Amino acid sequence: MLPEEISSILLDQIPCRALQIRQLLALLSPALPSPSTIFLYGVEATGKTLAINAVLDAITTPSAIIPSRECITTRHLLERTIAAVKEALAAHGQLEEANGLDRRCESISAFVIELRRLLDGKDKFILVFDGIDRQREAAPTLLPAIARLGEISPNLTTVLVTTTPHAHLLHHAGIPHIHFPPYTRTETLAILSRTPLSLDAHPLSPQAVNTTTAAENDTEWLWARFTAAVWDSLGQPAARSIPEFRDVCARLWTPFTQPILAGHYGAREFSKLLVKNRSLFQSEDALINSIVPTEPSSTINKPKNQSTYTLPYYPTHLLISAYLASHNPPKHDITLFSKTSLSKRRKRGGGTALTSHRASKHRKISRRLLGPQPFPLERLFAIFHAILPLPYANGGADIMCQVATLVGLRLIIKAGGAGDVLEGGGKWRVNVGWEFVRGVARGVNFDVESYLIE
Amino acid sequence: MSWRPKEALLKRIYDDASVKTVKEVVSFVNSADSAKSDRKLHAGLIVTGPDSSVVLSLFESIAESANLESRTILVTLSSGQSPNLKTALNYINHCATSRNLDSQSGVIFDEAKGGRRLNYDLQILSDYVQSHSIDKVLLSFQDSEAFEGKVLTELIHVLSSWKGRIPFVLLFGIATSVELFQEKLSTDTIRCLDGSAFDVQQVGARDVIKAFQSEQPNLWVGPGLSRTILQRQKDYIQSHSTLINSLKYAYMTHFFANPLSIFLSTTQSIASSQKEHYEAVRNLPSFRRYAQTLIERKEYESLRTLLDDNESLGDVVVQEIKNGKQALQAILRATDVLFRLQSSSTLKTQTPWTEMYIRAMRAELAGSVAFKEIMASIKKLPSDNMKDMLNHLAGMSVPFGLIDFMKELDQLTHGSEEPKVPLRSAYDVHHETLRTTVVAQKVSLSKNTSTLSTQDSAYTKIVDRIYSILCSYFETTLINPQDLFLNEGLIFDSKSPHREVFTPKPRFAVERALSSPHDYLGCDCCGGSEDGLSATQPATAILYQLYLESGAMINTADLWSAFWTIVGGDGIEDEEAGQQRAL
Repeated sequence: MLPEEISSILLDQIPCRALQIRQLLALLSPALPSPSTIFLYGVEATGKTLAINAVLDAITTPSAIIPSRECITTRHLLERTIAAVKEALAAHGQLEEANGLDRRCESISAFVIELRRLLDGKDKFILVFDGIDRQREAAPTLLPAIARLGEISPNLTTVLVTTTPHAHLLHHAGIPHIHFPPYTRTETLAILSRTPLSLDAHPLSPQAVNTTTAAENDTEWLWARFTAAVWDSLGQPAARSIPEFRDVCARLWTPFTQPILAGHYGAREFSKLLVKNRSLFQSEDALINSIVPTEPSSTINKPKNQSTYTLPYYPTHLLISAYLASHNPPKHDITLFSKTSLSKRRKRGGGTALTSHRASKHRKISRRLLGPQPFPLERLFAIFHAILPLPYANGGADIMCQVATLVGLRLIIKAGGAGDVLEGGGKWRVNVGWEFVRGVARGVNFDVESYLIE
Repeated sequence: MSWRPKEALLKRIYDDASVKTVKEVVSFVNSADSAKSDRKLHAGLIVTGPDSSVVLSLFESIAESANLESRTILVTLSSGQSPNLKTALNYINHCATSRNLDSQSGVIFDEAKGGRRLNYDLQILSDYVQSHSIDKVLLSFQDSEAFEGKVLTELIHVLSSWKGRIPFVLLFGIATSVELFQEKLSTDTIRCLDGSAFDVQQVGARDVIKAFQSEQPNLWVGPGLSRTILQRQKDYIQSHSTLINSLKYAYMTHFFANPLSIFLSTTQSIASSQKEHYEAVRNLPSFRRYAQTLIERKEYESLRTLLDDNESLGDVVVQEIKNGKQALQAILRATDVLFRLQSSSTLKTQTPWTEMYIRAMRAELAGSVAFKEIMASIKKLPSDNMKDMLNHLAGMSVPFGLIDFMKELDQLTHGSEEPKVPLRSAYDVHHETLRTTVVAQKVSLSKNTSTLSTQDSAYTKIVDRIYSILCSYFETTLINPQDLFLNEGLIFDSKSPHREVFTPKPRFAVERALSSPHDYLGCDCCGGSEDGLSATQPATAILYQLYLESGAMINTADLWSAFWTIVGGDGIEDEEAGQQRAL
């Protein structure tokens, strides 16, 4: 196949990436010598993997792609690479049998030796490391070493696919970089218009696109308008990547087309639909990812009650104490919790002009944003006894049992991680956020705000 | 003897609660088609509540139903088995591929195709899935809260990257709530998951106690203990295992420590029991009351025989136990009836069943405000609700004739032209109108009862009769259980064993042991000295008591010399020398 044909097919497969595909085809062309290392970069979901996969499929050079996210350790990556190279060679008839791994390949030097043995005297070979900058447990030398693989065996071309280019990442100059920029508005809409949803939220089959009936034509027209509207209202500021944007569109599509299915509007009445469903584009519910998909409704709904989860009486107070212990500095404890202390609790947002002026010298981050600080168990119990409205009479074993329950539910966790849970003297940390604590505190009529130092 | 049916009962309660969820989850697993969404992992979030025993049985029954299909692999991960990503993946590989070893090709992965693989390489599982044409790999995380957030996140990422090749379906058991679980995961991870949530119906403490008392009990848990247990449940406990343990402990205490419990046995013949049991019966307060009533009835002879003759006492005991059981069951049934009445009435505050039970056992139910409100609301019921209520009561084997009322009601309602409008009794507010009259610039309100139609007045008569029958029923059944002969054997209401076992006070116990070690050691040497220090006590106890005597600041040298004086108790010179030696 001629290069022009290949490129025209590829450009049809992968829209809006013409420049990058042409560059890749030129650099990896079987007829021409290739650079020893090529560097592809661009943020997530910009078609890097897609493009390199398609290009390698199209050209005849033997190649192997190693996705780093599937490799748990460096050893896993290296051994998997060797196995993949063997398989690719065997598929192209350059090796009798891909018999897997012969020997251990734990370090990069063993890997280089093995790779040289395999590729010695062979034709050109392309090795792609996909997402190599996200490799788990990678040594700092791994990436520079892989970047230099091409120097060791001249017939090898290494392609590195990463998200970020870093000046000193590779310790190597003169590597051709190919940038995959984020898609623009027109490009995004063009890509999404290739996969329109039908009115009942099923993807239209591609055959149907060719033999369009009038209704499907209408739906496609509506989909294009709809995606543009979603992009302008929500996608551009908050969901720029293609998968995210597609998710948001899919979430909004069903409520948006509801009036059409109900028969109130026709499919061509886009502006009327837009006005009717304007609250869909105003609220940001659709942007929030959740495991259980929630249907955004076209009416503005009240904020849901966040935590429907309730704990018994004493565990609730323990949890609140843990939150207070984590978010208040210990030096303020005597002010906050001492019942005899005369000094008033400092309220939120108060303070005289003098104090506010002085505070501006050292800009402080709100303690709520700093994350929970560890506290010893004794402090937790002290605060617990201080915030209880009635004195706590029962014995100690019960309350320890409650701590154990809270730890079991991971509402409180051991700070530092190391060490046995049973070991005394460790420090603990609350593991739930402000919203949750406020929710449970309201359940027992406890005002958390007044006990928090801001 | 008495516990086994209870256990079966509990199991039935929990199974009933979870059977719907199990069905839903299984159908979710079966319908989770890997081809449908190509980017996301299917995840079922099962909100189980905090009770771990429920979670276990739930997952077991899910596994049973899911394993019916041979093309499904089930791997159960727990937080202990997966401290990090490698171990977790290794475990998944190991479990999944060792499952169907009986099929012939279990060896294929070792050498032939893939060569040597690292044991955490999911390629192993992928090969296995292909060669066995597995439809689903079901991964269940029973205690997903206990997993490290990082491990879980990474694991989900790795699993989702293998999504196309291995058909994963994930199940998470969540003890708290979906929102809290979601907070642990990154947005990236959440985007990998496409889930549905399943709620397990919670079995309340009340359900358990209700079931305990309603299903042919041998022993009734008394009001005080019930209240203590429920209060504790409300204040502290998350899991029901503790509740069941407390009930079990109450049973154990009763049957092991109360000799009267021997009379509760239905199979054992009374004649074989020892004569001490009869002595015990004769010493009971309730026996005294019984004797008193005999005297009042001037049946001196029979009382004499009861006091002298064991066998005749035995006969009476058997008879009275039976009567007592029936009376208690009648009380329970009356409580049920009242609860039923309450649910058909339109009262705003609904008293829970357990509260009614506790009141009934204390003989306070008939005088309570709730009781009066319920009875008053019955008079106001319209005819359709009344008919529903009668239908329900008819199924409860209540010993009064309701069939007649239902027939009469039917006749009444069939006779009316407009069957849509229910009949209302005279007590209903619909028949009262407020009339305002202005007399000498004062507004006076007066109630006026509008005239009743003939049907309504007929209905009012029926309601009056039903009301009076119910009143007399409750009057006769809601007796004081404490007045029953042998109630000491039938009702267990001792709070202190429960308190001592379930709310221990370790600090108090240790302090007491240190201050009076003799009580615990039971040795001869320190028996003589009641309080105060002696050389024979353990050194820790001596030191503790010295510590108690000292003030805020302790001089170590003084403490040492005081200790030495007590332990050594010898002359000064000896002490000096000994001190030298000891130092």
